Amino acid sequence: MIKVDKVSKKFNKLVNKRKKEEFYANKDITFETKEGEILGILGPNGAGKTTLLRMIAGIMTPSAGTITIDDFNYHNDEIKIKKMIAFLTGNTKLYKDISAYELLKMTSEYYEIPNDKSEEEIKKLTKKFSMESFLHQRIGSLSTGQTQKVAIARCLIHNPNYYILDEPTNGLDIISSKAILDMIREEKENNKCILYSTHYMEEAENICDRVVLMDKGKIITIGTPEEIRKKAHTTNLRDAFFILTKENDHEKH
Amino acid sequence: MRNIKITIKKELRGIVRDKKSLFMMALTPIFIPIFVFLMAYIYDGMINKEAIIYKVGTNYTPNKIEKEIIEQNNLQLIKYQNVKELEEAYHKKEITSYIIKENNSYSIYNNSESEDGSYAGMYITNYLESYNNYLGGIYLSQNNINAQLVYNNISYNIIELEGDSMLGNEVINMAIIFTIMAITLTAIYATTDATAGEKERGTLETLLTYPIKSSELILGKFLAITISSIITLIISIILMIISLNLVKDNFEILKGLAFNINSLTIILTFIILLTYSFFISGLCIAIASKTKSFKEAQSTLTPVSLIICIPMFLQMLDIRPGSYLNFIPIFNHSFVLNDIFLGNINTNNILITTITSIIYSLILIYIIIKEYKSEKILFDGN
Repeated sequence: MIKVDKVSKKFNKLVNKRKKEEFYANKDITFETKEGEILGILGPNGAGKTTLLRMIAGIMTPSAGTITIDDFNYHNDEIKIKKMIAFLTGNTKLYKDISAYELLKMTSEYYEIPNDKSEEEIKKLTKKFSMESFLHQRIGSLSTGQTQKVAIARCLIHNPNYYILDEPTNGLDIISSKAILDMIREEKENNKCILYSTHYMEEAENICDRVVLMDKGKIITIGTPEEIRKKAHTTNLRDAFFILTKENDHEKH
Repeated sequence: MRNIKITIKKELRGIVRDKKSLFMMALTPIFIPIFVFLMAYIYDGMINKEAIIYKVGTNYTPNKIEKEIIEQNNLQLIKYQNVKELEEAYHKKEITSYIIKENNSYSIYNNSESEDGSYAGMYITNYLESYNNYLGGIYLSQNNINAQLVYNNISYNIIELEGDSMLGNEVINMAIIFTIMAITLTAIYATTDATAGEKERGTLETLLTYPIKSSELILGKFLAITISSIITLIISIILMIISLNLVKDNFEILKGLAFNINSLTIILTFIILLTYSFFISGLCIAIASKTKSFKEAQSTLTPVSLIICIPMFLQMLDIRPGSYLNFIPIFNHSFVLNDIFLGNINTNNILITTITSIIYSLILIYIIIKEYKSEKILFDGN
């Protein structure tokens, strides 16, 4: 279980040449994931989704609060946590001068997967994503769709329990997006937990079990898409988001 | 240890597959023999160049004895009718200098600040002094005094000994500096690619989500860069030794030079340059880690390659600052290597250079690990 408890992230923003101002990218974020669920993190650009997921993936440190995954925290058990998670963004960059096979092999080495098992996994993933024709080609020479398949295979190779996916379909065509959404559904069936951020409300509505609606670094509401729609008296998440963010602004004033 | 090995493998694969990095690592040392031969050729030419005959204008015709002395002094005297003609010939650069004789007084008009003028002035003075001595000898014999007893009370001859040769030392100095330069360029390029390059390409973010400690990651990168520097170092040492031996046998300037290449010299050179490789790799990573892009890293690291030239200029000018220099990296490496090649093996200096390099490298690694532990390495320090 991923447990995010009162997590805040503070940055210094340059106001002018001499003056810096503090601002919160995330403020008092608290939620928990459930086993085998897809938890959507929804919000517009600048809502703080990426910062939050980067902190959960361990590449950013919270300014306050704690993040625990299966009761481990990054302070004491960084390696244990990182072995349990996979992090993928729509902007994930891969090494261009190595082949897909070499990348998968290197990844399995970092995750301490025994040689014979990693060969088996690579074979399985190659078949699953139809990568046979380009497995030994350098990644730099692959198409966007082929590269995305390699990026997904890289996430799956160590069979993680948690997926942290930051706008993974962003900028991708329908076929590449489908590959990712299929992978998410399949991993859910395998009882894996998926944290999935997006600003495509319809996509989230279709795929997520629960949704965290975020705006300006804060959580507006958490619930199933149906609960949120009911709460906002609307028929879709998009409208619910606008209504709930307005209510939130009124409450503040 | 396992993660360090994987990172080394990953980085080395990147270096070998990148044409520019490979060029830096394997081909930069080729410039060492090119420059050693070029320097030896130029310096050898300076020593063995054929004597130039300097044209000197006069307002008189030298006598037979003067003509003999003039020939011995690389001069050719050309007679002009008057002072005006002499001045015109000088301004048209037909002559290097001119002499005006009035009775027994000779006035030499010469620009001793120019290279030709300084040589011509020297030869004219020699000619006039020799002629003056000749006339003195005539006077003495006319007065029944043995001129031999006046002028030749002592005799001397010059025997050339082996030892330091200023130009020969410079060729060795040049070979050492280019070896250090080759190692530095390899380290700079490999570092730029492995740190700022990785950050710019966006692969560092992915790598930091892998189960690897920042200390393992940076040690892997550091060792991979050091290994590529060591490959350059080995190629450089081989080429430096071959080229120095070849110029020693083929060029006059190095023939008398007391430099000796034996197994001890080679081992000591390797040790000193090995510690240098560790130091420069650490320094380059520490600097490049602070930069955001490949281009910024390259421009920030360029001054490092220029600093290396300072010891070369100091040695060219024969300036050897105090013993505190043994604690300053790059300077101590350069000076200690020069001493080793000239056979002046000073154990204390070698030890200080080696130990300080290791200490500095460890400090640099500590700083880099701290830098990589911080998210600033990825997110710009906001």
